[in-house]
Amino acid sequence: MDILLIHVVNGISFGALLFIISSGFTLALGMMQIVNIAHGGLYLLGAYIAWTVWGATGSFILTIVVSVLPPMIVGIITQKWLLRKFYLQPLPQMLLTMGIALIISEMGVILWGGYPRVMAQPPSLAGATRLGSFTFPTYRLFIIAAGAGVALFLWGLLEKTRVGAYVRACVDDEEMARSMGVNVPRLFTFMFGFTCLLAGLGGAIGAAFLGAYQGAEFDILFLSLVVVVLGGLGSLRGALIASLFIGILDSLGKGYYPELAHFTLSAPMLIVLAVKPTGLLGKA
Amino acid sequence: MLGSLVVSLVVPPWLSPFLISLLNLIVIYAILAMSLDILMGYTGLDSLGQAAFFGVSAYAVGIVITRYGLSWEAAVLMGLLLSTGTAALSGLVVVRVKGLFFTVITLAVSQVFWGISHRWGVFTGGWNGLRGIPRPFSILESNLNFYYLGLGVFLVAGFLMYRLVHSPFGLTLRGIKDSESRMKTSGYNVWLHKYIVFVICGIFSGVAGILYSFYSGFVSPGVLSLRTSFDAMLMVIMGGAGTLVGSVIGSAAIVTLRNYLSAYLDHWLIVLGLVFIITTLYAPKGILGWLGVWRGKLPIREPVGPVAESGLIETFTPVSEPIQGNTDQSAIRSKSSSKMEALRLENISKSFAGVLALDNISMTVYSGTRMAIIGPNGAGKTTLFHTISGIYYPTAGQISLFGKDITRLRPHVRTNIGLARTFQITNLYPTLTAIDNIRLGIMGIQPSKYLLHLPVVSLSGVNKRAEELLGLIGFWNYRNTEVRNLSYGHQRQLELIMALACKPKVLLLDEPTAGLSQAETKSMVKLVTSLDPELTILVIEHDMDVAFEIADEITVFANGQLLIRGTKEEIQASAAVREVYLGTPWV
Repeated sequence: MDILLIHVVNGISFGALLFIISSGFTLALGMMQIVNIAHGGLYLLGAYIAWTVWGATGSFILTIVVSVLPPMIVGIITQKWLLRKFYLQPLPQMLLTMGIALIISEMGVILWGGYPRVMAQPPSLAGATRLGSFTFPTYRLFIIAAGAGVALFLWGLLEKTRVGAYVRACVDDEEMARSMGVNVPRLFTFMFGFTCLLAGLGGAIGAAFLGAYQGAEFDILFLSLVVVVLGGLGSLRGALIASLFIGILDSLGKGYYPELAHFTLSAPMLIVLAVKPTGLLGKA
Repeated sequence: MLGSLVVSLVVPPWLSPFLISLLNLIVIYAILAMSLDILMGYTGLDSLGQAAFFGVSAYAVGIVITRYGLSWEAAVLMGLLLSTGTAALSGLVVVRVKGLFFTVITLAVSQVFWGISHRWGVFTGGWNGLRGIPRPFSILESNLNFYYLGLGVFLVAGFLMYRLVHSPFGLTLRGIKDSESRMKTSGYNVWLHKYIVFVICGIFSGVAGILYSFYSGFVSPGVLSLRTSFDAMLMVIMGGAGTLVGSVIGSAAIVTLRNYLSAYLDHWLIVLGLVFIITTLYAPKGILGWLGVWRGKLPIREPVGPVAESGLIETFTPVSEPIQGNTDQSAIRSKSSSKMEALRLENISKSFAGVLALDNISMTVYSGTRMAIIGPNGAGKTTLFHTISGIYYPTAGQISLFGKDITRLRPHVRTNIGLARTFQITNLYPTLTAIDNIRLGIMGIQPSKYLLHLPVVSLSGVNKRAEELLGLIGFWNYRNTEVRNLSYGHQRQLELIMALACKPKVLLLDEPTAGLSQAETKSMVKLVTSLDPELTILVIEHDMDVAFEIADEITVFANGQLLIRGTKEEIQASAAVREVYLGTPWV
């Protein structure tokens, strides 16, 4: 029973990280119909930078703040100069972001030598914490807290702020929002940059957990895809549920049936696809 | 075309080994790219998952030979079986969705296979893959000889694909790309067509994978990766989608680029990334589009009469002879003894989450009736047509067509029973010519729509009927004009002919004269009134003159309810109708 609880908590922490990573992906997809193939690459960028900044400064807060900026800047530039030309055309946007993904991937090799880098856990978050009669790795608890924080922040942003209202209006009827005075191009640039920031944040937090390695950009993209397809394209709530679901299932799977590790990720998605192709909380 | 064939046969022995290896890869990837082109360029299904079928069959060959030690024949068989099976299974799920969903799901599914290939190391060799796949015959050890084999397979595959896109089935694919809703209401089981082409393209991708496996001698997860799918898509787009030839050009371009770049540059991935970006920005229609070569049209080789003059028509061509030659239609109809029930609605209601668009509608229409449905905007008239034709399912009630319950039947099934409709907003196939539009209208209820191997232009029965139908509106000379180049009035006429093409017994016309000029309206009315008296026609109209001229009976709708039904005189006299249109006096 103890082991089960540990697996579940491990799963929740993985799910929390998954949510942080895939929230940006699903936001871009749902709001702007942008399938950001470079999303994993932006995670990798954030993770590499976090490793570097941590090694140089030893300040976790500084690490997080500095790591999320370059991905956001890449996102803003990409949206403003490239993606905007193919407004609401998913296919050209996918090809463009694929190009960006390749470039980022190679930059990783140039700047960080292509070796896997795992950030050391910050001392304040390392080690274990006792909760009642159980002991959990502190960093995992931190990830859960971070995930919850991101979820709350996103909910607040979208539901409670004016910007969020503009965003939701654009999702529904972009032409109407524009004729009501919403500066849609600027909003999209800001939002896309924000989704890339979230990818970078996932990288900064995941650097001490999953690490940074060549190939992570496609692994992370795959995870984001699974979450988004399972949860429903464009649904943040769906992404949250799907992330936790996959995280727990994956953890249980790895714990009890290690050989089937990959299937525990894809099987839920495939089963849901067979029954409801638009995902758990997706609209038709 | 013949020149390049000669070149590809004669030149290679003189080329360096590097170039020969390039040629091998080019023909292999050309097959993959062409199969994607059929999905993307012809059917409108943008798949990022073709790598799945390519890789599954490549791995099948590798595993069968290196793990089980079986013969190359067994390997080829397994490769074909597995790619077919994979396509058949994933198609069931994937073909149910469209557009962005489809693309993302195909990507996700192919990524699942990629994950399996590198994690299930025991079986697949993990990241290292499987090595040491021998060529089937020692004569094929030479890359040059293997190239000729690959070229042969490429030519056969290319020929089959060419026949496919020019066949009746191929035309249906292009129709699906242009307007799925029109295809459905013309009698086509759109899901089935998409599924069939998905599986066929999966098989072709699998053939490419088999060749690849034998050529390179080893398989690794790369064959199933994102990059393979994206490369294939870039090849199609770079060459020009919807042309088949473009994919070959694209394959040559990308393979050459990749191999030259990686030979000379360390960080060539950056250049490849830039290629993706630059191609998308500056050549979205591909090389062929950039060269101004037109794309996507079928070569016309039919034995026809005088060739059409210029594309656009200036003068409006009036309607020719009425079909029956009888002028006193209503007299004939009222004398008709067959009072067969053509259409019956019982307690039909349709609500959209709280908005009640149709409120308990019941009516019976006998065959041969000409009924006009009038009423203010928002009364539910078009919703009624959508419900009858199957685009919406009613929230309550039953619909019967000639006694058969059609309430839950899909639109194409209803068309095959005898229902046809036109749309309020013209719904034709814009990128297809007028005659191809009509061909699609005709074949909707015919089994010939599944023919894969004959050129569609060779179906003489279809051609003859197309000539008849186009002749009704004097369109024979404009048959090769793309519909998007026709004037609105002409498109509207074509819309009506399309509905007639599937030999309906019940015809629903949704505002057929909307947007037409006086003269065009007169011609449309003349055409409609000259139709077969056995045909049951329901017309939604806002133009009262037209409605009263075409119809024997009028039904008035308001607020989702059937207000009143009667003859012209009864309707004109009714106070309730006046109130609905003009309101009550303000006291």
